[in-house]
Amino acid sequence: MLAIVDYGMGNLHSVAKALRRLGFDSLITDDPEQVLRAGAVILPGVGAYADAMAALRSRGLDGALRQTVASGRPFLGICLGLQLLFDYSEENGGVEGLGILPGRVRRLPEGSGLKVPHMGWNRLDLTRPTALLHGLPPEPYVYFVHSYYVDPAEAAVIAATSPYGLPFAAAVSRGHCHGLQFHPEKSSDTGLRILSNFARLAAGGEERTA
Amino acid sequence: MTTTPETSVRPAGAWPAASFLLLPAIDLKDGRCVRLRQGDLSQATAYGDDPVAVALRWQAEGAQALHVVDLDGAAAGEPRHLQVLRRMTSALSIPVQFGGGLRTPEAVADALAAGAARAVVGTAAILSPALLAGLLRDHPGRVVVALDARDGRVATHAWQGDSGLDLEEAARTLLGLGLREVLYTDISRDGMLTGADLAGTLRLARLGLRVLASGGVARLDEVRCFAGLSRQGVAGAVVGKALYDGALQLPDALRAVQEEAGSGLTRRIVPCLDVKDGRVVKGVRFTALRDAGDPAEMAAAYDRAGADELVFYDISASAEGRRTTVEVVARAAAEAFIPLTVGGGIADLEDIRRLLRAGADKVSVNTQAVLHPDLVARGAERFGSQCIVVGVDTRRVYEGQRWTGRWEVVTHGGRRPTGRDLLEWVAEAERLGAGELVVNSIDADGTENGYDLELNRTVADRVSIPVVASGGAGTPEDFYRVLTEGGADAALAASLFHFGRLTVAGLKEYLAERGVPVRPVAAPPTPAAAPHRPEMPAPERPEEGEA
Repeated sequence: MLAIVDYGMGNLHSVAKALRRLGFDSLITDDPEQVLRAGAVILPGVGAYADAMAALRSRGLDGALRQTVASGRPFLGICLGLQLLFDYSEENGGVEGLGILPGRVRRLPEGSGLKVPHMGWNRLDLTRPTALLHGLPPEPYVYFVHSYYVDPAEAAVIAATSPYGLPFAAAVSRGHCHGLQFHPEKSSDTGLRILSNFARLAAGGEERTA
Repeated sequence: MTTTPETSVRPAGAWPAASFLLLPAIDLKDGRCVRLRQGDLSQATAYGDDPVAVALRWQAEGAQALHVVDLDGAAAGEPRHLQVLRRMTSALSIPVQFGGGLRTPEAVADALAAGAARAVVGTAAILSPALLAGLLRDHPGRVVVALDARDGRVATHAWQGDSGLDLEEAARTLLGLGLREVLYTDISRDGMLTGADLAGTLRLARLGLRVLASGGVARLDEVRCFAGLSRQGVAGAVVGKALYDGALQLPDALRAVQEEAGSGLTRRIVPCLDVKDGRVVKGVRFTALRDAGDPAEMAAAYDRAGADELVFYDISASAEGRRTTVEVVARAAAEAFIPLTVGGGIADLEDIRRLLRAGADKVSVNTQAVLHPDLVARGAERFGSQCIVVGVDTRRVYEGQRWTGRWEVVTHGGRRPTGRDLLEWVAEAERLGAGELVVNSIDADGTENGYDLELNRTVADRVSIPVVASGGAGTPEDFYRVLTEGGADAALAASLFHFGRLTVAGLKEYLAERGVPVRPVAAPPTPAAAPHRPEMPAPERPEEGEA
């Protein structure tokens, strides 16, 4: 079973609906026990970093998420859910994250004239083949809404970048732990393909290339 | 200025590796910097006496490289201002490409020895492929060919001659010789500030050449447009007269380049559906839908058709009708996987919560935002700015027949004037936490004569959040203009799409051909999404659904 973690931060139902359309059942839960029992876990999220970390801690979900990744079960962080994987965010004056992947979350540079938040469809440039981003159209476009981006300490975890002033990490993968800065559930066919790839990994497929 | 002996000329700096270069042009005549209109030497206008001082000014303003043309050399058939070039390149830290009269291997070698990073050859290369082949062999990566064209034919000899060659034919020959980059000028436009030849530039780029666009590049949105095409082979743009006239400021233009060339963000096409009591109303004539009145099915069809986003506008007059809308949003979010904005009749935080929970990604508040600005602030604080859109209906304020230069905010679906200044309100909306603006021109709405470009440009310049243009779309060109000149990030339309007079795919193809970055429509629209021909359009103003 796929668990979608509910910690009061944003649009969980869209992810569940997209999975449903793809023929995969999911369970929306805020119970750490259920997260630990799930075959795979999705951490969505929209909102403020500090609130999100506080919400995870107050429900005892932070430990459950670390254990999920440590156990090698497929994990997917979406948008804020990706950012929470890292050590630290500049948002809200500086907040510690889950520390699952080394690196920082930084604010998109303003002053270059680019609007922040970065909102809309942008190009995904794959930096290496991964099972998660397998089978996309030659020039995939995905939907973003964010003001912060992840700056991984190990460039090797980056699976795709998108150009916005600088090429920033739009997707990361390390083993079975994945994160997407964009919203696959709002990225039409390209996004559905990515979610379907993840759901298949979750259903027992081995990651082919990481 | 100290004279610099030839021996002290530094080796040419490397040509910048940037994906797109904006090159200020310096035209030399009688040792001075001039600009021409349409290449006519008798119309030369002097801008600055000392070309070195002018070059240093462009360098100080941030230019990464310069384009220098020896006009006397071009007319004479041999370079005349190598001494000036030498002085210039020893004073500058940025590289220079130099052309004009470079018709022999010796002349090219002299120009490069005088400090030019690249030599621009024109007539010679076009008339003698053997010469060009030799130059490319002797100076790899340092030779650019200037293709000057008039009416699709290559012009030579300081623009006064006609080679008789077709432009594309000439380009193919050059490619065959191993040339990578050309400088393309449509000389019927040069110096006229009418805009460079985008279509011709793209035609050459599609052949596989890197193309520096030149000749008449005049406006900021034009610079932006060329910069956005760097991946399609547009290597840069040469800007001359507009910089000397002050029509274009170099720092602004460079910033626009940085934004556009460094960003893959696309402009969005947003169909808007009016929903009443759970049904789509007015003007939806899609074939092959089980139920063309069902918003969820329509949403799915537009997702397949390549729409980037959808707006549901709730015009229900009753609380019951609006409850139905929440159910419709929930069903649409299970069928369409693109962002969905819901507007109309949103009065409090509970309305917002209910719609977001049902699957809306954003809510749009209009009249209620004007009446209760606090709703915007609290909505943004509670749910995040990214999901709070402020919609604003506005119209031009006239004194008698004369437009005052102002717009005022109107509410209640355009029926009620507020006397409130539009620019003041959009600035406040941004400050309150709005994440996006939908600007609907009541003057233009329903006319199909085009968006109010001035309105959109003025608002876009005022705020730093995305602006969605609304009202007046009639043709693909209207979208093109509002997304370039109008400065809008997205364009919204309703009946134009619903009646099938425009398909999203067709519109995007039109925009892409003209250099507007759009998300490609992945596959041809399925039959289910292909609307049939209209019987008659029904442009009519949707009203905000406030009971």
